Amino acid sequence: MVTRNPYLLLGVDYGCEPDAARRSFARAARRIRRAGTDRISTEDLTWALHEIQNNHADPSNEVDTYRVPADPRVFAPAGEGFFAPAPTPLTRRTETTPSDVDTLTAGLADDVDLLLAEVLPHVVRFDYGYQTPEGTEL
Amino acid sequence: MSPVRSVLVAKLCSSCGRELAPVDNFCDQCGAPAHQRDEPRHDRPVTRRAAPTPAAVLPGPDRALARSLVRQVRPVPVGRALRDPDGAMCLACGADLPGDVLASPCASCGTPTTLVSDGVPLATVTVLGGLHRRRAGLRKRPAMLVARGADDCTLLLHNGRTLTVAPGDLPATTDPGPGPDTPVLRSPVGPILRHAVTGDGSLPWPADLLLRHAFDALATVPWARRVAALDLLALGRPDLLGGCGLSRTETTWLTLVHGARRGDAAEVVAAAAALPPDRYRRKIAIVAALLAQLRQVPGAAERLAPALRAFAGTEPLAALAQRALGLAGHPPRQRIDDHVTRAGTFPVPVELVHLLDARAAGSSALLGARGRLAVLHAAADPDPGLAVAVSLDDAPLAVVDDLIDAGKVTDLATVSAGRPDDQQAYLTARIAPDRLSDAQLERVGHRDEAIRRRLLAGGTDPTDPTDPDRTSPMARHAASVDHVLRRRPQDVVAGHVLPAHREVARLLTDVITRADAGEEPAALLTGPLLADRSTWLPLVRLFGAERLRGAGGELVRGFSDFFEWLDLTAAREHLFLADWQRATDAARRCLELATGEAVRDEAQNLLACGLHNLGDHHGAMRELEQAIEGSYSVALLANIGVVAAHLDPELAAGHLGRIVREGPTTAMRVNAARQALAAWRSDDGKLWAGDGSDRRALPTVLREPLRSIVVERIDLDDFRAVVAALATHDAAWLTAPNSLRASPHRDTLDARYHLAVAAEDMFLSVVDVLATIQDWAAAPEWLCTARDELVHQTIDFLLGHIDDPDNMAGIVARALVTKVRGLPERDQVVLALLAVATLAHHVTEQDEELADGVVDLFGAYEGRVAALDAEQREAVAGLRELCVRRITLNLAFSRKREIGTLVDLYNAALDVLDRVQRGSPLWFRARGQVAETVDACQRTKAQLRPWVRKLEDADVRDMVLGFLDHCADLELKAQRVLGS
Repeated sequence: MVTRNPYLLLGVDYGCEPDAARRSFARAARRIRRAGTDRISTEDLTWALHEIQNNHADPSNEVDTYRVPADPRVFAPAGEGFFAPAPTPLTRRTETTPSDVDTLTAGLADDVDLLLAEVLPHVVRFDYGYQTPEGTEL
Repeated sequence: MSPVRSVLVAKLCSSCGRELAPVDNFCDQCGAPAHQRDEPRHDRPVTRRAAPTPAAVLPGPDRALARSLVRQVRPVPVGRALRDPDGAMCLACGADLPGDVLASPCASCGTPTTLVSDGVPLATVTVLGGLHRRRAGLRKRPAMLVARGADDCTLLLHNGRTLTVAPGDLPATTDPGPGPDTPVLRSPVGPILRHAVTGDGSLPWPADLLLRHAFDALATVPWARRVAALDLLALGRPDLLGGCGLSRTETTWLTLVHGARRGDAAEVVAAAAALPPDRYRRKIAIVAALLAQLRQVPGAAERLAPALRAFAGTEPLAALAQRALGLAGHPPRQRIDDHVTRAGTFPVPVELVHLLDARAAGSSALLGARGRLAVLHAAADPDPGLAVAVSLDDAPLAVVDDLIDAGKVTDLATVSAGRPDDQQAYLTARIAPDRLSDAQLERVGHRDEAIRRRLLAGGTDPTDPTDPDRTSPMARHAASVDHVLRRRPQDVVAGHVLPAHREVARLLTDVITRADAGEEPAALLTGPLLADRSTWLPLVRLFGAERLRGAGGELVRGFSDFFEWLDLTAAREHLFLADWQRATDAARRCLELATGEAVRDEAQNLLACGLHNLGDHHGAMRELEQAIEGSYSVALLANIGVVAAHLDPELAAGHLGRIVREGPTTAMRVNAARQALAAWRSDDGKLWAGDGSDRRALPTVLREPLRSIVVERIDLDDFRAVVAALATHDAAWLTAPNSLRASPHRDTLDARYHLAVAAEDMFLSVVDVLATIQDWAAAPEWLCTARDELVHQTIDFLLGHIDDPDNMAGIVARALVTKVRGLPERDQVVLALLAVATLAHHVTEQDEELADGVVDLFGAYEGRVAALDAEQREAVAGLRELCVRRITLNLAFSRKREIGTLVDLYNAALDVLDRVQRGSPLWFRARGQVAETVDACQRTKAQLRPWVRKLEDADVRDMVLGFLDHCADLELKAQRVLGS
């Protein structure tokens, strides 16, 4: 005899929270009414809700109830679209001031200053200025 | 902050200021040498330095790379950086000279500009300083040529005196000439100067003496002063220039250039400041080339100010130097312009020139973090790698916003690192609003994201009616979504939908409208609609999975992922309605289409669920076992355990054992272990098919998982359940040393009890554990239960085996009653009586006498029978009688054996008494034996008479009384012998 599965009876994912189970009660009742089935009764739903609400163990650790679904992700198609629009970045709330630009420029100037200090002594010749008889400057 | 002692000298980079390891001599970032800061002394406490600020550790520019670029550049005279690159100046007075009069004397001071005036007979110039060997007494001594006239030569002798000789009398020269490392000297006194400056002590003259002769000789050849000055500079002795006879200003100028060549900024500042401010224009170029170095010289700006002021109007470099030295305002933009000016006037590598146009994003690899940030911000098309090479930690927030707006930074971690919480939240909202936490969302007030989240969560009205921003694009889009979900397509305004989704919105409203008009929704599905995967769930909610089936074959082929998902959803819906057959049909349809492993696994899971509920457990197991091939979820594995339980408990235990090994949480593994044990224990058929004992061994598939789980950090209750199973079914492993060593519960009462259960002498070991309990009211309930079970099972066993000669249960009963505290009175009495009865029977069967302790135990508890209520007294009355009987018999048999032995000795003693002389030693020994017989008989009577009075069994009483009569008769006879 297969054990009754409270999650299947309520039409919720295995391990759902008691609150979610409570909210699904009316939906499950509508579903069985719409389907016109006599396989499930309101008493069954009441029992199922009681079971879920009074099971204080963590369902993810249980191994005695059949799990439907095994992988809930396959039932939730991923992707942006009309019903799931992409997030919109917040409009900026700052304004760039001349001081901000000066901060950046000063950083660049400092770096270049250091680089020129490294380079300049090596790209010039410090001559005394004397002209040799051959016409070159010493 | 507590003071600490340091034995290492702290170092800082001389360029970027980074703190370096004490062992580093060069900065690992910029390559500049380290210098010791105000280092702590070893002998005094110092306070630990505060952590460097972020700005202090930002990487500086790559100066080593810049140095490597210099190799491509051919150096040019520094004077070419002046406004007139070809302009000349008088070196004697510093006046500007027109280029066309370069060869003429200075118009201002009359000094020629050339090194050596035309007309000097250079070919006939005699070079002084030659070394000779001249005989002085017995030895040859060194002598140096220090002057030469037309007809004579002057030699400096070894003793410092001079000697004039005719040129023809000059001894032969012995001067080896300059060494390979000696600079080339040009002046006639060059060799004398060389000996004076670089003398190694091998010559007998002091340097001052040589210099005096050199300068004296120079005074006779004025044309050679400048050449001699150059020789001194080449020898590195600008301090001796004053002896050359040049003008003071020319000497200062030469010192200035010499300092620049050596990179001696202090000497440059001193010399430049000493020159006439409005003369020597070229000093401006030197100052401009060495600005960074000169800034490090204290007071440099003030000392150079007059000179710079004098040329500021005519030389751009002078004005630039004024600003760079702080003598004039220098805003950042102006600094860049000044760098451009210097890069344009000096031949700097082109890579550096390009850096100065940040918008061009030149060789940013040269730059440090701050420079790169400026380039990233300004460049129109920066290197994509630049964004990760900058540090935005201390960048103004507005600048980061600029970068975000320009798409130059997209990585949230890079952007928000090191920033306060509120800025992190703001920047997250700017870059990745979907990653905002709820608290951040609230703090930032990103209403569109809040609306979007409510929409994704399935809120029926995602917009907040009280929200003043209900007209935002996202709010209006959410309202449109709500209209669609409420099946009110007529309320959807196309312009309110976000532009990217308007076509899908139009298709959806069309499908709803036409379906409501009676058309089949399946026939209305289109590719563009299904391409938007967000519509799948709402379509099922609107029309149901069954009504969406039956679309055209081309659409099914093009969007098979939708239709396989649809069948999967339908299968689940049927399971929810307990319609197992239709659920399996839908799952099979899904499997016909699906190729992806995740969908196939789930379809097989649903199919197995349907089959399981239809009673086809074997079919369900097949589907699940296929599903767990490859990658699988624990849920599938758990489901196998559920289904397997309906097939074969050992198979279920095996699958659950796998969960015990592979389960993601300890709790799940424990649950699986308990479930597996339950399944295995329910395997009743196999229980009796084995060795017939309730201690059958665990199967391997279960044993190993249980052994692993029992030592994990699990709840005590779970530990007890598992260790109890191991104690019963895996005792050998459990009692092995260190089996429970890793368990946090290894020292608990639970562990000790179950180790006792697993022990070879289980019952007595358990009793020993029970005996440790001082207060049973505080003992755990499970232990009370275990105690009671042991007591009752012991009683039941003994009652059923009261006539068995085995005494083991009796020993346990005696241990229970004597060691374990707090047993109920009735249980104590019963256990004691059963123990006595059993042990007495066992000992009697062994022809041994009952120990006094057992008799005492009876004595202790016999009296407590009276304290029991009437019913209990009646229940134990039989036991009491049995104990009395068995004790009496044991004692009677024991005495019989004793008397029997004594009678033989007694008879032998009578013979002796008859034969030996009265008073002999043999006679006394025989009388002693007779007296011992008397004592034995008296003891026997004294021991057995109380028991005879308690005996209820007439046969036993007659037997014992007969024995006592025999004893009395024997005693009488013996007394007579003694009295005769």
